[in-house]
Amino acid sequence: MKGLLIKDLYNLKQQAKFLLVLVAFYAFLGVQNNDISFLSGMLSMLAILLPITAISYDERSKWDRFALTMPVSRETLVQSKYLLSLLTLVFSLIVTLILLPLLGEHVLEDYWGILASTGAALLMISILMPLIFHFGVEKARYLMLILVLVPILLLFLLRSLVKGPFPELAFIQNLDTNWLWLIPVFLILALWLSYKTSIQIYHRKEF
Amino acid sequence: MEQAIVLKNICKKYEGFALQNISFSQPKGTIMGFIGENGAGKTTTIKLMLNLIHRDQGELLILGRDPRGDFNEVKEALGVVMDEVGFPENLTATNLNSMLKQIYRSWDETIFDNYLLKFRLPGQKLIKTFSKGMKMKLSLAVALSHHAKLLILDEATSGLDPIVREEIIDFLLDFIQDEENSVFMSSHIVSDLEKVCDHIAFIHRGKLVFCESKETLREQYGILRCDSGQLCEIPPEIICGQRHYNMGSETLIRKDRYHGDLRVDPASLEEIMIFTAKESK
Repeated sequence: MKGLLIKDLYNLKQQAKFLLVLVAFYAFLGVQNNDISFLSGMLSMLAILLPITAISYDERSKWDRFALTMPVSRETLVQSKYLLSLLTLVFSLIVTLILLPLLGEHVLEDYWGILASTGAALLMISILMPLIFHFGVEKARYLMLILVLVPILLLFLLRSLVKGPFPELAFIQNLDTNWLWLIPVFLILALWLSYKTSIQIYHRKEF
Repeated sequence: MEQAIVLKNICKKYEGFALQNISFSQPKGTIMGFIGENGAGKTTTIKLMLNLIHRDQGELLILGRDPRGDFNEVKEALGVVMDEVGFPENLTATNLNSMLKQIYRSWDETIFDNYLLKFRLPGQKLIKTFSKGMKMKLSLAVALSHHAKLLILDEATSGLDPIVREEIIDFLLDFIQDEENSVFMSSHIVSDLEKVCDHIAFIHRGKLVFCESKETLREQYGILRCDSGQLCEIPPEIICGQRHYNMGSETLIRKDRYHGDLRVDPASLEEIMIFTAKESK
């Protein structure tokens, strides 16, 4: 496991340097516009992007086939990808939490925003991983795009049909906050389900 | 004698190709050559042995274990070189060393460094800038640096120059001096295999034609060069393959079952392979 993660980190070194420049750029923009909420969203997005890039490198070099001739089981290979995703997510969370106080004014809502975008990233990973293991990175990317775009488009369609105030805003404002603890439970459940599915898919795979 | 590799009635069906009832075994302490034309099923067989693909039926044992079960312990003792080497591209050979140190319990850095020197491979250059031959050498270095007991080489010498090939062959001969060690290697370069192998398995269109020791093959097969008149006197059941010319023909026969007076030349492995493949078309 450690060896696999070491390989991913070496593999991503170039990419990570480039992303750090990107983060610095967005942090700068955030300070200029006095709005850093965008940065935390950006960081979670990058946290998803890195493990996907790692998998696409693996696919291109046919790494999995080679790795499976070593004392590495199929489970471990899948585990390592989930672990990498969680590590980058935690890392980006820490970076955001450090950057936020450094970049001037912030309010409690900013922290909620960070949590929300981290949660969203976790959900994205949970959906994306089995798709990637099944279809490969290239096709899974398009599928993800569809998965994200279709609800947005539907929402727009609904909105254009309904006249007057935004009903979804009212819905969110009237949500009972007592049920908020359900969200992390749901996320963990989704992640666990995603992991189990990926293992199943990966076991059937041929190289 | 203990077996390094055992295959019994292995089948794997694809669309347009099927591996049919492959059975053979290789004793420990030997080198087995695996020959056959492109698309005969060599790589498929090797992938089945490593559980990279799933077999439809049959029994398979590698160093006494079924690859479908708990196989990590066996893989620790395997050195595998595949025809397309899957190194992570953004790593250097030195990076690779730090990774493999974590993966193989018995990883030996000193041996690995020695191979890098011997094969003249740069430690600090990205692997993706390596040529095909260099990648192959690196892959061999990896396969040989963790005290493997069984080497499985799929076309490992194909992209290499004669000098390095010779070096590798010498190494392999040295490697099986330890009677626990074995080598299973496929190659197009039949002459290489002829030099080192004790046993030859020949696969043709998904079927095993034979799996024999080199001595047996030498005793069994011979080449007869004669005109068509003389050929009529040869019993057809001992003819394994023919090649016709204007002036006459070359015929691969079962030497051990021929009792005539015509001169029978020794048949090379390549001739046995080509003639037999031609005949069974």
